[in-house]
Amino acid sequence: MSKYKLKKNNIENFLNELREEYSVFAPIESDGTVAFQKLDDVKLPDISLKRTDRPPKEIFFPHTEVILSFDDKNAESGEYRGKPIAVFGLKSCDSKSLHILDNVFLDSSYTDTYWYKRRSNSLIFTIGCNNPLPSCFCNWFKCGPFDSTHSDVAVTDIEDSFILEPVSEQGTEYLAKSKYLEKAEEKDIKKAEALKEKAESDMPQPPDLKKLKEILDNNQNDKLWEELAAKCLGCGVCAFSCPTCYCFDIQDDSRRNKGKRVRIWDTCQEPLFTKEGSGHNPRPSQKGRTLQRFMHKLSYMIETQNNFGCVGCGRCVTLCPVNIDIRDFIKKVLQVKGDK
Amino acid sequence: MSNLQEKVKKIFSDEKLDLLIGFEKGTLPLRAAPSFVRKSEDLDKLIFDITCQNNLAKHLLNEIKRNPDQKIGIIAKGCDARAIIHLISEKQLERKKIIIIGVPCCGVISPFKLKNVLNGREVTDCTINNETVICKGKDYEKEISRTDILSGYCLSCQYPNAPEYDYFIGEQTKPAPPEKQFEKVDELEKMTPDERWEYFKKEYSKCIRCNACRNACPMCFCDECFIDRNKPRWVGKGNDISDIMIYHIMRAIHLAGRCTSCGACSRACPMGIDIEALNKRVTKEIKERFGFTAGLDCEKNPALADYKTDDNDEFIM
Repeated sequence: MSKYKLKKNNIENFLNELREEYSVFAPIESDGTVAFQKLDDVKLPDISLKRTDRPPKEIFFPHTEVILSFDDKNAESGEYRGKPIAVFGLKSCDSKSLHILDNVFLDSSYTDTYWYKRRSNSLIFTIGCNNPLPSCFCNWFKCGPFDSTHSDVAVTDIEDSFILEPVSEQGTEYLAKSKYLEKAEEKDIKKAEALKEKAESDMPQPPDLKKLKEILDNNQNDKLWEELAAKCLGCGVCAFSCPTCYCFDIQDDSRRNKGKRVRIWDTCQEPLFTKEGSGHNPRPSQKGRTLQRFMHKLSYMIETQNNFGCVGCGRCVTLCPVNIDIRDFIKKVLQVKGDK
Repeated sequence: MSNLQEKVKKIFSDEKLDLLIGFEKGTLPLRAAPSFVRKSEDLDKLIFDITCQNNLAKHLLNEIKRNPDQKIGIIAKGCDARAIIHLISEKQLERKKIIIIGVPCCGVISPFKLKNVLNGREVTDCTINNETVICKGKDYEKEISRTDILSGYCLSCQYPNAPEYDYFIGEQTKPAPPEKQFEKVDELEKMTPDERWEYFKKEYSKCIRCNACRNACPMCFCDECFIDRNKPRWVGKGNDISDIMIYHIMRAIHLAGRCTSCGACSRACPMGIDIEALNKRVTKEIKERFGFTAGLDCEKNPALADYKTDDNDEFIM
């Protein structure tokens, strides 16, 4: 497939052109925090395209989303009705996270219309990580810094320009009609390939995770869980920074004869998450809650979708207030001899 | 073995401790993690330096809730000790079951400040000096002044040493100049109400409702927090600015006369919200109205749990 070159001084034009057809999101830094924000006439992406502090899931699954507005006569769905969404500058771990969430929200038995309306026809530009961060570990989970499997276009930053390679049909179509692309020269492609190789070899070798699920499944009483729970504050930093955590709560907000139904990110780390109407809580301890989160990511999701629920983005690793490091935990689990 | 490890080992065996709560090296450079030691030989992993950002009183409280019969020793910065002392005054902990081991604190790092000083680059290696921290990454090396990355609470800390302790390891450190204590509040008080509203709106609109501030706080120990009440629900969990503000204002008011200005909340916040301003404003009010500072005396009643017949009631209309 042909590769294109986008000169960096043309990025603004390219994104403006993209905006004609799409609602475009890209990493923007404001007040010390990088997040995917919708571009407009004044908002330009942070061209260094850092890993965002906030996960990209919020583009398609907002933190707080009105799913229904109602009054005493009518009710109206809050599903997305805007332009199709394009995201420029997702990392490979993040584009994989969207795929994992597709499996959740669009599985064979149920289509979540709120996710679907935003996600359908979206155009994903995944940028290769020239310099994976020390906290990155995407290569633990059959992914890599330049993995573009779950994208429409693969982008490589070669200093003065970006090299764009279509991955999907939609990506091929879009790139073919853009006014701001030129054909990539052989030397640019070589440069991009060298960056890919360097980034891949720069990442430390991952441990072998073949036995991880089995060890976890058979050792839920191991003292490792106690140790983890003793440290854990039970806050939602990991879940809310995680690109694949998808649990939500639904609340009705109504005043007099008007109201709205909203769905809001929730986390299994909160006791309220499992509290039943009777007041009984089947998961009353932090140990149970911590276990749930790790088991869900590292065992149950293998059963439900044959993927680990972790993409190795490293956000929880750097943000956890008590330094709970999932990499460290996995390594310790792999050393458990098994006591059944 | 460091001086700290050696002395704690002796205390551990002399006091027949069941558990020692302290800090150990974390998995990332410049990050420590809470450490729970039940065997003397594991005390070798203890550390104490500017990376020890958590308030261990929270973990002490959780451990006591799990098993009230343990004798626990705890490594305490000034603020950890103040939190313990205040919790004792609120009858949440028993003094005789806790061995407070004071350590001299020169302030701890705010991870959010560090991230921004390094412009998002991560650290692979570091050297902690007296005045500076040298951070090394994949393709950079940067010497940073400690004051640029220390938590705002630490830069204004009046009690860097435990006010009450059973042991103290090391030389006591000096507090920040007194005028620093409420510097942040003083700045905000100079603003017009509209400017202040804008400031708080900007800060709190960053909130993702992860509750890290509440969960890191040793004073937030309610079995059921008001935000978890849902029959009826008192406050929404979403990102509506009114709900966010209600949460933060209510929390600040619940901390009146109880906050020990440890700053664990602001260091836990992944969004770098200025939680200090509101909490310090309440602390200042309590100090001015009641002459009370939380966490200095186990025997003294907390300001809002006390009554004086000669109270001048000057703020009651």
